[in-house]
Amino acid sequence: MKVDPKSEGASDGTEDAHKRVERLSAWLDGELDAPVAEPLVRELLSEKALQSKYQAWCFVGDALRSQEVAAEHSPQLCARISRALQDEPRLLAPRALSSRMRHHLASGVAVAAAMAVLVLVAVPLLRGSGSTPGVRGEPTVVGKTVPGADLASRDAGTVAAGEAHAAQQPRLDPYFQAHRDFTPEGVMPAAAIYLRSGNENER
Amino acid sequence: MARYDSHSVQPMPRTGATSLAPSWQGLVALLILVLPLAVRAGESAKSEEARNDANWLQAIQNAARHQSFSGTIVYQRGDEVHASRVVQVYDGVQSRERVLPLDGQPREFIRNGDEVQCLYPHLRRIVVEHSGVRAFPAFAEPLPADVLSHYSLRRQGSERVAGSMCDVVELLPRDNLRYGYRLWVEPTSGLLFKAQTLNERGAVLEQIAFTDVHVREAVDPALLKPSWSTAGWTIDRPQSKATELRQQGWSVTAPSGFHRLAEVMRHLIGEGDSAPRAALQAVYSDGLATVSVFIERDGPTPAKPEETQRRGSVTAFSRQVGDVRVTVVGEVPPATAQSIAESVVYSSPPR
Repeated sequence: MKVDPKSEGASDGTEDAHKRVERLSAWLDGELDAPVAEPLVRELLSEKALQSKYQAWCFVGDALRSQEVAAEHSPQLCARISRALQDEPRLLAPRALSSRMRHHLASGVAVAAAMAVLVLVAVPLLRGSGSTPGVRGEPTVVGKTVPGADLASRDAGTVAAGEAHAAQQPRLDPYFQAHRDFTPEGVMPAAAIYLRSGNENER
Repeated sequence: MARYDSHSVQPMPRTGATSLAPSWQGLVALLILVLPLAVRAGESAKSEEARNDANWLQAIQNAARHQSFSGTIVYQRGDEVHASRVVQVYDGVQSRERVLPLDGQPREFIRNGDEVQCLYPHLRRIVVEHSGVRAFPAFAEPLPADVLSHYSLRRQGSERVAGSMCDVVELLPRDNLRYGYRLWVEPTSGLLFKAQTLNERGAVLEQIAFTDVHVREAVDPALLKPSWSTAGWTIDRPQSKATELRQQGWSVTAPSGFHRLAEVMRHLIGEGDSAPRAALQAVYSDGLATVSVFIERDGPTPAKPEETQRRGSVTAFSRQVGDVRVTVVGEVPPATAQSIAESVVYSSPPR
């Protein structure tokens, strides 16, 4: 999902805020490397304004997505998990670890933080009542799923077309062609047999 | 549809109360006499209706084979739309046909009786195919009565197609092994002017329709000639030889209602200049849908052990069984194609 940080982040009023919003958008689009994403995730956990942006965009992503991934849970559960996660110690390994291990650990923390965001921010959003985002709403998935929201909505809207328009695998072309040789027309005119059998240009 | 004229029903004159009060024994006797007749009349009406439906299907088949016509056909599946010029000439003995796709790479299909020439000018290549029944829009070998044992026929009124009023009829499958069809038939000629293939939810998988058509008009035979001089073109004749799968040690369980049309050993022509590959092909049809089963030993290594592809109403399901590739292609739902592929079993050939 591409978002104009200027319009979305106007309320922040600072260039830094714009940059953070821009990075958040890039992260949601899966365009941010882990080293850049980690501090952003930390900011996301601590800054209400950034969380608000995140919630809003997830909500947009959800609106584009089908309801099939929706799951019920109570806002109270969200709050309890949120408090429990806040009480968790942040440092999970001794400093004596090698830099390589520290790198892996940092990645792990980033993943854990992302999960925390999912629980703290995204899930309550999914539960929201129709008119109150963040209390009861459509399902969402954090991270790289927002770019796929387009696709999800497209698929949901054109099921029949999707069925009829599966990606063609040239490897199966000889079978389609050979099937045509012995296909009586059925109820479809002969032209349908020639046209439906596929990639004539490759023959 | 039967029509009832209220004016034709006249009240019986009353001759007296006693004459209108038959004894209960008389009533029972009357019922005993009348009920079998009524049941028989009902059965007769049903069989009459079935006969009419079968005749109606047969009429389409006959019209498809014994009419001359020319027109433009539009074919659509998903967001793909293709148009073709179609000409058929019936000379009283056999029909000849030319299909001229109007989009994509230039190519033409010219049929003389059972032989079809596929012309690809950009490759300077002609692929000659042979087919049993290839008349415009005809049915496969099973008789219309067989078709109706697996599809129910429902008349849905009339609609205008290509400037003509057509009868609309649905052929809906009686099980989930096959797709349904909605047909627009021009009643005077019996020709299909439009046809849709419907999936199990009634959604249109593909459709084809005339946008303009000329029937019962003299068609110039010159319209059957190809657009290009084909001198010097490569001619490919995919070889096929009748065989029996059972003799080769294979057995296939076709779904209910699918009759075996052919079993051949043939060559598959791959893309480009790749060498032809030998494969067994068994063909089945329920009268509307056709399914081919290909059994290919030592074919090209597939990327996946199983793969499925759909093109409009045609599904291909392919699976690897040891060093043999089994591929089912047909106008059937994916589940049907898969079940047929999974029914293919090898045992030692009979001695």
